[in-house]
Amino acid sequence: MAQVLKVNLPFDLRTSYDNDLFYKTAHDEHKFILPHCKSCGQYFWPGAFICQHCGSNDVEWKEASGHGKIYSHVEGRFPFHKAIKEHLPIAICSVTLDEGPRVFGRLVNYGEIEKVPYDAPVHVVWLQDDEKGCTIMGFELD
Amino acid sequence: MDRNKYSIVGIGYTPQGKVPGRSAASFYLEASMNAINDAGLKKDDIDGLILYRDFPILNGDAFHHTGNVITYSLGIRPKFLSQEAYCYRTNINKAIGAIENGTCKYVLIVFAESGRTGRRTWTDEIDLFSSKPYDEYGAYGNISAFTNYAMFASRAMHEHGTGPDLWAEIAVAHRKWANLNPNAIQYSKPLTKEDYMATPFLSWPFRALDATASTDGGRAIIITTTERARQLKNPPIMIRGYGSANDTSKGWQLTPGDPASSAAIAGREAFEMAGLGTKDIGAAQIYDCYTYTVEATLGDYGFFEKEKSRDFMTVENIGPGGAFPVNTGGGLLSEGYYMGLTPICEAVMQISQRCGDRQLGVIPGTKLPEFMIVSDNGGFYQSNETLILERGK
Repeated sequence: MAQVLKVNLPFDLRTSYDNDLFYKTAHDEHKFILPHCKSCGQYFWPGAFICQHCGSNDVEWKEASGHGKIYSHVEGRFPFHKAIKEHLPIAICSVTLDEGPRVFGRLVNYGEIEKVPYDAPVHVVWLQDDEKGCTIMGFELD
Repeated sequence: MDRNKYSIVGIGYTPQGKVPGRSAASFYLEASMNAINDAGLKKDDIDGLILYRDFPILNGDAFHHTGNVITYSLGIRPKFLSQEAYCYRTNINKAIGAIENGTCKYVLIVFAESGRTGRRTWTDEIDLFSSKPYDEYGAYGNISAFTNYAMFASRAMHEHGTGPDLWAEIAVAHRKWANLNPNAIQYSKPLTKEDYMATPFLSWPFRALDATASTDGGRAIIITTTERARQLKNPPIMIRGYGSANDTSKGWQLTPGDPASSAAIAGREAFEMAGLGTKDIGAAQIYDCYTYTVEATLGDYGFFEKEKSRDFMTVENIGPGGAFPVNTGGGLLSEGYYMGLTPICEAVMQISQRCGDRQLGVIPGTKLPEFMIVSDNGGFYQSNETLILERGK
């Protein structure tokens, strides 16, 4: 099971009815699930009423690895909004999951941003905010 | 759409930069009237009006500057009225469509804002447009277009060997053009590569100088048929090629060099319609919300192999006196941010030879291009309209 880090997030988490189960499952069970199409067999992200690949509405949530490769990363150092000032720097990454979709998360335990390797294997780490009652995706180099 | 059937016949500017005491609505109206006067039309001739996207109300305005607010004050009743709720780029497509289907004769496209003194537009949006939390990404700390474009550029560093030293060239080239343009916000502010490199990263690998800044002011253009344009006072600036495309990726999901990017597809369509290739194009006016956007767009258009952007995107090549002039008014980066109307208006200015010290063909070693390529893009490089313009008779 993925590691859980206790954090303070800059904003409450806003989710949609369509993607809510991902975050609820992450928060309650620390499990990584993805939307999966039973018709064409492909995964997608975020959760939606139909499969983005084939358009079928025969979709389900399926437990996934939480592993992938880092596609890109940045390190925010400037408070574009006053609410994030105390949280800086915030590193953000995109990750191409082993299951296919490219997802978005906070990059954690990375050292110097300039030296983080592209395409390096990463795994999910849950970032849990107890006060706000929500959990988001973080990624850490394997 | 037929080659050269439609033309741009008028452009409208306003005072720009820091202009205190002016509402965004006032810039909408001034830019619109200036374009109408420039074309030699009367305001009642305008039967189609298209506004760029809506923004939250900033200081100085009492209403959203929507189509009905602006047309009421303009005192016109257009048959076709349209405004995007968000950052997609379909304005030229809609304007031409409204003329082609017989609804309109003269369509005015306008954008204005008071984001410099009326409070920063984008920050206000986070506070007011959606209320907190902003969206699903807010909790992650991703609240700016800046961050999304930085993600795109960061991957391109790995993919194509670009990086801050190349983006410094782009920033400096734009500034050198602006230093020749008295209307540009950065007209009297020179910039060197050393200045660029000495500034801090706001979101690594981007610095403040990689981004356009909010401004006060407005910009407008008028589109009609080339046939009608020939009866007006300005030389018609003909739309020889046009293309549009929309990518569905999120900003942070974008793939640098994607052959199916909106710029690549819109560019291919525009070249095909124009019957031209990259070698025929003498200059470019590229939507440059960020430095890397210029590199990505020209690369996707096929002006260079992406791994060789370093040889093409130099101050010497794209700056004043260079072999391939890009964003000759200073662009969004150094002239002023009016969405796609900054590059389109500068193309019209150059082709109609109204550019003074920065005029191509007047600057030693340059010539007036026969064909110019123009891009407008929206969202995070997701939406693109491309024009290839030529001077008509």
